[in-house]
Amino acid sequence: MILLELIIATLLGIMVGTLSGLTPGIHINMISLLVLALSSLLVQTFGIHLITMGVFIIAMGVVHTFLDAIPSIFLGAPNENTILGVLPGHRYLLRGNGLMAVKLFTLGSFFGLIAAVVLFPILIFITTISYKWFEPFFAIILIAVSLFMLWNDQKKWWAAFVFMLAGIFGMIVFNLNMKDPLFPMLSGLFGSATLIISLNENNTIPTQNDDTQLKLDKKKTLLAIIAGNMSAFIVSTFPGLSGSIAALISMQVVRDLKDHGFMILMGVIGTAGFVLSLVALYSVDKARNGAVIVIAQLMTVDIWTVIVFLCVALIAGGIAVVLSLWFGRIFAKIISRINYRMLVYSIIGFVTLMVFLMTSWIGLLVLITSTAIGIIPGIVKVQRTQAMACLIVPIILYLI
Amino acid sequence: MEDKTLLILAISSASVGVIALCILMFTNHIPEKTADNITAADIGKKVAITGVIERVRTTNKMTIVTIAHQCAIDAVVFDKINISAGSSVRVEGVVQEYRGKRELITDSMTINSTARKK
Repeated sequence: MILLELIIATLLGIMVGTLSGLTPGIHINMISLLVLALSSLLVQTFGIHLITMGVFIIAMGVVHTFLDAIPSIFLGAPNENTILGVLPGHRYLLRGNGLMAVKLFTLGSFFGLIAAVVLFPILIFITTISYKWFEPFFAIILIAVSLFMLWNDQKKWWAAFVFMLAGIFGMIVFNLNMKDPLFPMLSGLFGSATLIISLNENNTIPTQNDDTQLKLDKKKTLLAIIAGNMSAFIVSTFPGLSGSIAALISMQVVRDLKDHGFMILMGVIGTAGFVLSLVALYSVDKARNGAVIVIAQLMTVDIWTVIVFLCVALIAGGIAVVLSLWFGRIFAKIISRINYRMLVYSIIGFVTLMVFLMTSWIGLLVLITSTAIGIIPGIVKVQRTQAMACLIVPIILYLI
Repeated sequence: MEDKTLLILAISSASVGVIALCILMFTNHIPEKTADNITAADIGKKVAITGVIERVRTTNKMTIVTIAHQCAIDAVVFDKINISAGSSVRVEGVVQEYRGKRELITDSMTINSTARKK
């Protein structure tokens, strides 16, 4: 009986994860909190097991990390894990290779998931013995990554200016005491700003190629999977870090991944980061993302529960590959028939509306300011990753 | 990589997940707990507790064994049993609430080590 309940929960999770992944601005944390709010009703009235709710959250989370590539590639509307994928994703789209970008991302997500499941026992062991030892060094690693990013930029002074501006802005936003500050801030810096710049460049989206046979450099693909998993492990174990910071760390370690490798890396980090956040929950009792916090509040996670969750992640991941390629094809077919300008205006309008509904006037102010800051790197031609300082600076200050 | 290869891998992964899940469900898992991490969510569920016996009370029909880890919980056995404080045991049973206190209705008790006699 419980098996049937778990299978139904997995299928429901896959459906909800598909919807949340494809819709910009809908975060799995919101849905997980809704599950928590309904949990006592579900247990008392319908006799649903707590583990069933956990299974729903895991299936939803895994599928979401596969499908959130699609809006960030085709619509330029990212979340905190996919922001760095917007620009290369957009390049693929403008060359008619949007579907190829989706496929690379899906490939990364899938192999990231498999690697995360395989590495899970070893990572539990490593976390249990090294967590306390490693914790004090994390701020130093982030400072080193930031300096390295600045040093590698062609225009160092402009890069430092954007870094400082974004850093100060991030600190202000986190102190505004607003609900969900990341959504307006990141949508502006990396979403709306990219779209507005692309309007200026008078883009039209070409007909998308249907043939996506990939010739992958095996060594680079493997490197992207390993580096992605390692950095996903770090960010899912330590506080306050998102998938994009994992990508930044990986990019400094494994240079010259090129666009193909980078898209794979983004996929690896999103999915592996979500699955590996269960390592920290099980071994050091720390919940590092909203969905896992809800799981921790719902139940005591023992090794049996973890294995059930990993099985569900494999099922959801397998189905998500099919869904992701299918929706990718649909988006690729539709996108070239749409007027690009109209599309950009409607996405910016939609994101603005979501920001207003979720965070009210103050969120709107954050969105406008962050869009303005996000346009600067595009105009002065420095790397957009410098704007990640909006997350890095507050985290460094929190850690030291 | 061809789409077909990726799809075959994806379907294999989902199948492995389903098979492993079925096997897990048929292993009839009982969550391992200690006296201090039994929560309201466990009420009505079967759990296993390992700990040291702090106190034993015997009445006509039953034995109440208090098992401690950091907190203590009573394990109720509807039988007279001969066991002494200080023994380490593993008890399987269903968590219930009785007069505002959580207790375990024992199904089985395994003695890991008996109390040392002074």
